[in-house]
Amino acid sequence: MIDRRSFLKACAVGGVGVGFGGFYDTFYHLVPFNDRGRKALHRVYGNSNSPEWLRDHATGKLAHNPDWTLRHTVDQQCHSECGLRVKIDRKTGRVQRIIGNPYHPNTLMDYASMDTPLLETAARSGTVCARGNAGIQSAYDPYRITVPLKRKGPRGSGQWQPIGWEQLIREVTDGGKIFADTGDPASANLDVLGFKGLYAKRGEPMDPNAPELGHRTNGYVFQGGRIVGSRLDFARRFGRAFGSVNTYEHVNVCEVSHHVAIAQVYPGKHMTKPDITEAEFIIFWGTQPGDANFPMQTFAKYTAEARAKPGGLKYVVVDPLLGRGGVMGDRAAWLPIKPGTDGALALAMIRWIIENSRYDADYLSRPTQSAAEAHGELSHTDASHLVVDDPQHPGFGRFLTAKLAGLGAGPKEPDLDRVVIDAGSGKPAAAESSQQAVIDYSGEVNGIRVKSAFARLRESASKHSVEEYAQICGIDAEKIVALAREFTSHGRKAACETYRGVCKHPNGYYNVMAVLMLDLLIGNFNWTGGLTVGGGEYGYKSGRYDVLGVPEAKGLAYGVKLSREEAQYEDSSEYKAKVAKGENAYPAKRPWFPLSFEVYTELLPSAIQRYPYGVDILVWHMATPFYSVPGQGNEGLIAAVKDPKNIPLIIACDIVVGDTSMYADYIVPDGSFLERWCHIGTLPTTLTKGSGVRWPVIELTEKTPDGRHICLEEFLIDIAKRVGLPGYGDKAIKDADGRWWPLNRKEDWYLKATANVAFAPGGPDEQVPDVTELEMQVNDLGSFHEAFKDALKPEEWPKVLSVLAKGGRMEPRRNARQGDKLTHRFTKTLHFYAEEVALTRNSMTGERFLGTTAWVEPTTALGTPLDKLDDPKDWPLTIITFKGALQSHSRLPSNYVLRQIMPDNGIQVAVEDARRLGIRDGEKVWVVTPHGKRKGTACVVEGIRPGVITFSVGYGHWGYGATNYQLGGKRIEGDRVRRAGIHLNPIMRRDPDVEQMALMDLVGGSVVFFNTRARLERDGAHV
Amino acid sequence: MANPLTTPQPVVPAAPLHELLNIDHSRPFSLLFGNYSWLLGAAGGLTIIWAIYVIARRRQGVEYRFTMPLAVALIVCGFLNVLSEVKQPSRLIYGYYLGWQYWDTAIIKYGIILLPLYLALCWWLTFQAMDRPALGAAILRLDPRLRPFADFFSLWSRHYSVLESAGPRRWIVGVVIFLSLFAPMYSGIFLMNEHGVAIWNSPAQALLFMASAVAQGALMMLVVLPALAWLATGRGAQSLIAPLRWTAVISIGIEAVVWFGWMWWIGRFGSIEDLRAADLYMGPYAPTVFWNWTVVGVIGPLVLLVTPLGRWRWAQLLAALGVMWGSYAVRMLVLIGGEAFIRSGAGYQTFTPSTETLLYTGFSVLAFAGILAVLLLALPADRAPELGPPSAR
Repeated sequence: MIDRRSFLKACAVGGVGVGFGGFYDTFYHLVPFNDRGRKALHRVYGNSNSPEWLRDHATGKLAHNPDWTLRHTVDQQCHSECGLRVKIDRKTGRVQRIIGNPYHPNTLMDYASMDTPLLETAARSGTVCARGNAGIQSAYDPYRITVPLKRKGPRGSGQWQPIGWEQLIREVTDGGKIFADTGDPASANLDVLGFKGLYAKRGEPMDPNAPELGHRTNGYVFQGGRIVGSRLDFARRFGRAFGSVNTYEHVNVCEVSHHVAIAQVYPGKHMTKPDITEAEFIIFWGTQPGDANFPMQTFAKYTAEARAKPGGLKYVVVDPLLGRGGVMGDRAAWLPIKPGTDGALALAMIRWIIENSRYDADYLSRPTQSAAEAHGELSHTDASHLVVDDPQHPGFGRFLTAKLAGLGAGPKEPDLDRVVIDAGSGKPAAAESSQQAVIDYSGEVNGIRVKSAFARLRESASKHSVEEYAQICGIDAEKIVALAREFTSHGRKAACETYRGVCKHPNGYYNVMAVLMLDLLIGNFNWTGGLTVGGGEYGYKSGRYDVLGVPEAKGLAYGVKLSREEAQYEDSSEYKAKVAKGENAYPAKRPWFPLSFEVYTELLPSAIQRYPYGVDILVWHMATPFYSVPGQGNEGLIAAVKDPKNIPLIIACDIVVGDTSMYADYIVPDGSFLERWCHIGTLPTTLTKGSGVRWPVIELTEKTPDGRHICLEEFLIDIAKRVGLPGYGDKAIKDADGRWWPLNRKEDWYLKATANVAFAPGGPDEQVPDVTELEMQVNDLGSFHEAFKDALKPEEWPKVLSVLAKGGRMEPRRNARQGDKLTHRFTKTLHFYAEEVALTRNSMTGERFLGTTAWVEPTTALGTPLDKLDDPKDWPLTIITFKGALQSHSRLPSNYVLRQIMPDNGIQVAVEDARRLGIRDGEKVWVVTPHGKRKGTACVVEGIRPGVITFSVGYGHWGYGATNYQLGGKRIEGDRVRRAGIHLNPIMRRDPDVEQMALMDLVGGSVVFFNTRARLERDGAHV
Repeated sequence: MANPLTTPQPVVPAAPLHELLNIDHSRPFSLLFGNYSWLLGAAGGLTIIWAIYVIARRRQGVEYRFTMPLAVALIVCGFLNVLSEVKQPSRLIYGYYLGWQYWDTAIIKYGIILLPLYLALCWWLTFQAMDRPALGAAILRLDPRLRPFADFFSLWSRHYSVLESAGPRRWIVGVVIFLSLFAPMYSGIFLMNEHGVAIWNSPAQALLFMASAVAQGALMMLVVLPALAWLATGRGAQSLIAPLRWTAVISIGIEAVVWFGWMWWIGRFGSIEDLRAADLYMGPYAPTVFWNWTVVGVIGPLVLLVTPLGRWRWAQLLAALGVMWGSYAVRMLVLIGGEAFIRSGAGYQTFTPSTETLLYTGFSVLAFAGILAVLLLALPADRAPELGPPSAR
């Protein structure tokens, strides 16, 4: 038995020893004064920033605070591309604050025009969203890499060695046994071709039996994630000079089917947007104000403004998910539609609108722009244009031409050679000669069975009753009729806004087309309160300088792309050989995408399968297919990419060791968005013309030996120079006078692109004023000018500096409208009928795609309906995704201020489903799909359609600082904040008909995010 | 209806989002706040009652003799938790030799000055409250080489006794009362400095922390000090039951009035942010509030103390445990009300203490026991007659 004193002694020794010992970390930090902080800058305000502007109390005048540099650039925390005003500490060079650039239309309703003095914008700053404000943390991410890295050990082993710039350039250019020092037995003896070796094969065909595949240099592939505008063109220019057609950005991960559909209706354009603030009624399809869109904050702001006006905007959100920024008050409603059935809802509305004559018949009857304008219209459609409808006729599916109609030779321009039934005479006539035509016509012309484009749509919409459509889309027929009635009750001041939710399905293209038809029926295009393609941009590609041209490389880059986009399978040697052998040429080994572009998701599986050819050098830039592509983060594909025999050289250009770049051989540090260049047009939402200029307001990466900050562009320039590519070095860029200019640093190129913007044609009030003394001072442009003054002609600098000082060139807000008409109008024929689509065959089934939209059930590549693929009895839920206002797809795990607001995304489950399954709010559940399972926190919510579950993308990282890795032998600890949450892309549905391909829309080319079936399980128990 | 398509607007309930982990997302306070607020609060509750005893000339018995060592152990452990929670622990000390301006903008600067003073005072009074001859004899028994150290650590207390002189005693008691009020209220006061957290922008939590501190001080005197006395001297002793019991009852009552009054005030006058924070107490955290504070911390102890059960030692022990738990709970509830609330209205954070803070809490308990044991061992075994059974007094 222990006595009292012994007990006390034991307590003393044990308590003090263990108890104080437990606080060793506290003492460790306390004693050496490592964390002592610093003296506060101000007794009361502490370390708070002083303001950018100071007011003289005596005179009341504002003056710039010389402690700060203010620079205007463009955001890239998401794709809204908002203008930023970046506040930089002049002493430390560190960014302290990011707010909106008042000269940029995204950030202010009434943004400042170019001639507004900078001082007048002091108290008129624009807004940016939480992501924009948080951008500082992207730039100063503690996991940023600033020097080149080379893998040590096998690919994906998580071991990296910092290397010098010269070693990087030498190894990847010259090739050879460059992995001998990695300690990886699989690649130690691998003889890598390198850029130089591959370029040496620029005269060799990729496949002598398939000349359409181009040169061997197509073995260089640039897979870019978020790379747009002039930066994308910089990368493309390198690809073309090298002899490769394979430079990609990520578009089919996003919403390419929507772009493809819009281009079919609005030729040459990829985006339409409503004139939100003047509209009376808008239907938001698959998106909603405040969600990710083009641009997110502007959409939300405009909608709020429009809604608040007396008698202002009413709107309906058609989406399985009710987003937070969406429906408020009695001026808005939510229709929780079944995923992927938007086309059915739109077609039901079309049917009702046509049957009840609620469309604008007079508008649709004008067959040409001249006829339309003569009758007060601002646009015209092909509603009355006749289409050959006889399957036996060689012209089946084509527009009827004057020649076919027996009307003689038509116009030389094929788009104008159309035939209509003239409303006056009731006879066929060349469209050009008719002022008004019959829009609903089926019959024969010159012995050929024809239908008008409008009649085709009517018939297509009539294939199902409104009740049947209601059954398909899960919206009551009464509500469909009410929606159609409301939509057609506002004249031209109604519009449809369609985005990602509609198109990320196997039938996405047809869904979007159906929605677009609604706008055509009411004739809202180019009208105030209607629909627009926007004002466009000030071109950066040509003008003062031809920044894209590389004459010596002309013709070198050609052939079918690795993604098989913009190419017909039927033109391939493979197809012809099969046909010659009498074989059924369908299906192709992998789909072809003749109507689509930027089919990014097909690159890795195509490279692994070597279809249509293999890849020698793959560059990932801001690309993270394993994280962002549905179904691609699976073990099989990752293992294949890790095998150097499949792709011998993988170079990533990234700001961190990312979720995919962790599998590269080299990582080239890139600048964050605050360190980059890019010229990018403003979006149609803002109605006016504009080009934002992103330029490096800070630079944080290490420098090359000759003093340039390391980034993608400097990497490509140095590779090009070492290989000896044309278009780089001292004779690289030709100006309008025929003089050659050098390209030895990125500014040599981007400043010339900026000069093109600054001097691009424009109206009198669009001209760029010369830079002012104050702008030079506030932007600290003196040293910038000094450093690069030989990159431009002296007379160009005042305007170029002015554009940089304002973060771009914008048309004044006052130019947006001319009364009830929008200023910027698009006057080409708008299409009910997509002839190009109708003439294109599905490379898997051999069937023709549909020229007139219809309700099409979602299927696999070979036509298996998804309900048969994954029985709803076993898989009762459908996964959809969304991008919340606090995350972009994959880029922002470093933004801790955003994670404070929403540290976990969770799985959102409808109350009804949760009740049925016995799932409680906050409970951990497994989401199980046919390809695996992931655990997350159930968030039981009202705002989601029962039978649908969703998660916000951007969480559940395994790279980007989420897990440990070795850097130069030092262990870098992963941060669990970045791992938090659930990410389901890796277990999303793959198409069983095509190896390692996600479900896809074979017309529009979008990858499918919203058709994976799932069930929920709780702690191993099926619920 | 303006829009025939309008569907009923669902009211999305606040949904829990994630664990509230201080180290994860830079929330200002964690479980360690609860620890140091409770530890310093308990010390303040003890020493204010000690001061009242001195004013009442009750300079005998276990309360007078053993309160200060207990307070010292509590304060030291409180400091350990403060140092572990702040991001720049060295900054708390830095200003002492580099100047006040190094503490500019930090409201904690007042604590940096006053709380160490409070610790020093309690340390000093630990020896001053001892029987001076016994202390002197104990030091004289030491090896002569150790005596200077013993004198230094006891602040030469064997040579003088300030509490025996009315003038100095009055001043010292005044300082003790001020610091005893300051220590429990301070954690509530500096919460008010967290601008933007509406529910913390109120003096209510300072009053709440004070009242709960006095309640737990009284009950710790009632049940803990006799145990300490036995450990130090080997003899049984008892505190004065009635004054401590009713002090605790009144303090618990004040605590309840402040809490419910505060909630009423928010309902009547509070901003939307106040209301949403209060909604957490009424909604998702209602069971936590009800069981941990209302039942265990208030109703249970009141029943045990107000009824005749309160004369029973085990009832006093249960009441003390309940009050101590409730005192901790009320601190954490105030904390959660401010931190769990999501300003975007997206939902609320659920609170799960991190492993790290749980470990620190465990180490705090051990350190507390260790310090107390060291003090009890270092102090001379008291033979003072006043440590007899209560009937002797």
